Amino acid sequence: MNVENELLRLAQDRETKAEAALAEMLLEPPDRLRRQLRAYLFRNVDYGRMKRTGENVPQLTTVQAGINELACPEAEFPSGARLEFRIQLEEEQRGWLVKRFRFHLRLPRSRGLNMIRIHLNAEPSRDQLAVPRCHMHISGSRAHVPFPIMDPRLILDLIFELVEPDLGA
Amino acid sequence: MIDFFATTPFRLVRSLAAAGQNTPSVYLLICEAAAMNAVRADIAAEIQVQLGFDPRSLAALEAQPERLEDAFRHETARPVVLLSLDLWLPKLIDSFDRNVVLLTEVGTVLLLASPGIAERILAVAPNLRNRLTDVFSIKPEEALGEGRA
Repeated sequence: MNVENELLRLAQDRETKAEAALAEMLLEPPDRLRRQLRAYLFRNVDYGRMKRTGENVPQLTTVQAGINELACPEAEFPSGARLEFRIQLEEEQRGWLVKRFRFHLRLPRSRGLNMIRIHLNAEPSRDQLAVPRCHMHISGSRAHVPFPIMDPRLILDLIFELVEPDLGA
Repeated sequence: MIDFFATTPFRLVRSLAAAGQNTPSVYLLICEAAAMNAVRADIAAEIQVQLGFDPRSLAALEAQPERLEDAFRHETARPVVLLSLDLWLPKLIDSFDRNVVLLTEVGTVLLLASPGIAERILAVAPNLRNRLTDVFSIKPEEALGEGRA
């Protein structure tokens, strides 16, 4: 097998494992997840890690039958960094699964990096080598850097605990 | 009736979390009768999420006036009792008034009542009224324009 084919096989293997991890990752029902995320955001307001936000954040909407979306249009950090996120959940027989998400952290102008985006696409890409389903964009780069599949609550916590304090301060 | 300060289940439970659930407190929560089930469900969900346990949820008919100590027995793992006063039960309110100390032993007691019933409680139960930590008007989250799925 030549190097290109081997890399493609490795990428397909990585995506197969990612799909299996997604299929196993059952989430709380949307209304409970909304309450958990809201409580998490307000705790960060209490700790001074985030500026005051509305009680109606994140907003829960039904996109279509069996698909709900939780959206936080903007959470502002004391550093001036801003976070927007959207999480789509799909109801299946076993419970609620994450279908796609998008976390977009805009960093203050004074920083070298101006944004970090973490995406889970709704569907696997045809080009699995170049576009992993779960990936990260750094600043304006077009590169899709593979990102591990994890519960969106963990990604939010990662942003609050590590990414924003390190890159936004 | 006086316009009491308005709160939401989220804000109420946040204040309970800040105060500590073992702080003896009795709240009278006033909501429209039609919204009572939604408010009760919202409060229970917020207690689960913010405090990490299920509240003891009781309907008025489940609290027997002569056996209040059963309904308000202190449980370390579940120190919040949510009592929906969806009916006017004078014997029960009288028993609350005479044994108000039992209510304060449980931890936190949330009395959820319609405006009419709340008004009667405040009028006929002076001991209970004096022990109330606060009285709030409370609305379900839909009333704030939030969605639910």
